[in-house]
Amino acid sequence: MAWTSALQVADIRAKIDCAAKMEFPMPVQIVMDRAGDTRHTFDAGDRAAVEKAEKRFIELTGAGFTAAVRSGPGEQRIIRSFDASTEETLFHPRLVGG
Amino acid sequence: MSSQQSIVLAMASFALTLLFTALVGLLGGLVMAARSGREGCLGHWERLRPESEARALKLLKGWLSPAQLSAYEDGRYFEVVGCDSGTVYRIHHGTQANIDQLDALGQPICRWCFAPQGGLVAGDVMLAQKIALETYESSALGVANRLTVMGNPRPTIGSNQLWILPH
Repeated sequence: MAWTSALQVADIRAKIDCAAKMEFPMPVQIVMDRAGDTRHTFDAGDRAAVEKAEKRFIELTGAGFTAAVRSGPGEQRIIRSFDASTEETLFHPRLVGG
Repeated sequence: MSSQQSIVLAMASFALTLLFTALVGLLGGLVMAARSGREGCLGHWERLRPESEARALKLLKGWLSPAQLSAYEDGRYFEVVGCDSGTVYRIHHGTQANIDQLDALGQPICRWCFAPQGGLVAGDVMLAQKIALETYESSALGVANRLTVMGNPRPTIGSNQLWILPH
């Protein structure tokens, strides 16, 4: 009986963890640089991590980076403000004439 | 030849051999030092460049549409449609002057040159160019340099074309 209860508790915990991961996926900020890119993942359920990601967004866009997100296969849109629910944000540096 | 002379001769030849060996060793060391010095002068990013290129190309491929990806894998270029004008551009693999503007027949009529700052690798440059033309074409071309075809106004693809900067 005790074993059954323990198994049930473990099962419920696993389901809660899974639901939490589905609700708060690990978004990534991809910043183009000379190494190809640098990736910053953060836990969307962690307030401090979200604040840090938002700060990074503001700093990068303030420095002239353009933030883009994928909106479909081969399609993208530019975003001007931070959204913690965005799964992947790509930052490319300011464009200049070659 | 006296035995004394023989001994002196033997010692001299031994000394010469030692001197020659030392000189060869010294020269070899100098060559090695020069080589390693040159490698040391190579920038950190230059050594990482192949890895960076591969990483950037992987990123680019993830952002291309299936048709663009197929074109890129076949011919190292893909086409995008400008969001403001509907113009078709062909982005070639590269980092400079790698965007052809195409006419209705798919022939290049001019070439555009713009890229993100920072000396990025080709995959990143092409992805930034794609995003720019597909989402903010006018402002991207506003900073770009336009090169026009001199001579044949409608050259065939693959022919020798001379691109010049307008005055």
